[in-house]
Amino acid sequence: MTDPHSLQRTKPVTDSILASENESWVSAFFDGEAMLSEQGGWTEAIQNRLYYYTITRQVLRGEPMGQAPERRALLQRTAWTAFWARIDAI
Amino acid sequence: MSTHVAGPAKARGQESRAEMALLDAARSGDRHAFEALVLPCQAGILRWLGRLTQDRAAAEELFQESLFKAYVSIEGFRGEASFATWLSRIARNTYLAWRKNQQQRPDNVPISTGDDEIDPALDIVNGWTDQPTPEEQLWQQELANAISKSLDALPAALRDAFEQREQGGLSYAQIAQNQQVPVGTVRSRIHRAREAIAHDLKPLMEDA
Repeated sequence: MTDPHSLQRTKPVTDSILASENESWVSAFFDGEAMLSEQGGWTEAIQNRLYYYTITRQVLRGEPMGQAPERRALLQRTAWTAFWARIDAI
Repeated sequence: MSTHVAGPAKARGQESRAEMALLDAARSGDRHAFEALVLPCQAGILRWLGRLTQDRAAAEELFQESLFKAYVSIEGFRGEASFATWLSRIARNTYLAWRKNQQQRPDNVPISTGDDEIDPALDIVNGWTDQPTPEEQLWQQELANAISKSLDALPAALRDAFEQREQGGLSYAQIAQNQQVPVGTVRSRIHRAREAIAHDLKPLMEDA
């Protein structure tokens, strides 16, 4: 089954069919308009979406954001996997 | 005519609400919430550490160390400052300890002889928001162009809702009032606009 939070695009982009609450949750949460508790579980797809939403916001607000490698460093799951392994070893 | 009754300050207040929710979840052990908190500030802090160390690997190591310290002490963080500011301070202290250690190594020339307390390069909170390098400016311009193109391709109602939110700083309720549609429609429009932009940014990020 497709993760409703994975990046997809229906062409053409339209609002003739409204996105479901579940589908639009990440965006609403990002804006402080939805609660964390409304979401059943956190997935990598949600994380990925937040990543792109954050970049978009920072670009639109003209915030310096480093270079691509810096931005990508922690998107890579391996970096987080190593990090959590270290936490688990405590 | 649209009546914009609030600005970016209001929007940032709502974003703080999202951050507090993530903080609560991270304190309860939700690892994804912690990752989401790190996301907006990671590039800036990494960039700052890279500039100070002149060594990408060292910068990444220091960043990982800072994250570790942040995670194990997150229960003590009450949220008086933003998470980004708090993590920045941890990174600054981690860097200072690393630098001291480097200076004590006989095979190493000190990286800096400046006084830590007055060295402006150590002002991380302002330091990682300073002027971007030409390469960063170029990359940021490419992203801005891609976003602008995406926005231009959107239906007017979606673009308008998204811009009222991101640039006007309005809440969904205020946008709904301006567009004379239910809040759920605004939520859907903003989501669809973001999804379209993210879709268009993806190749740029993957190729970078």
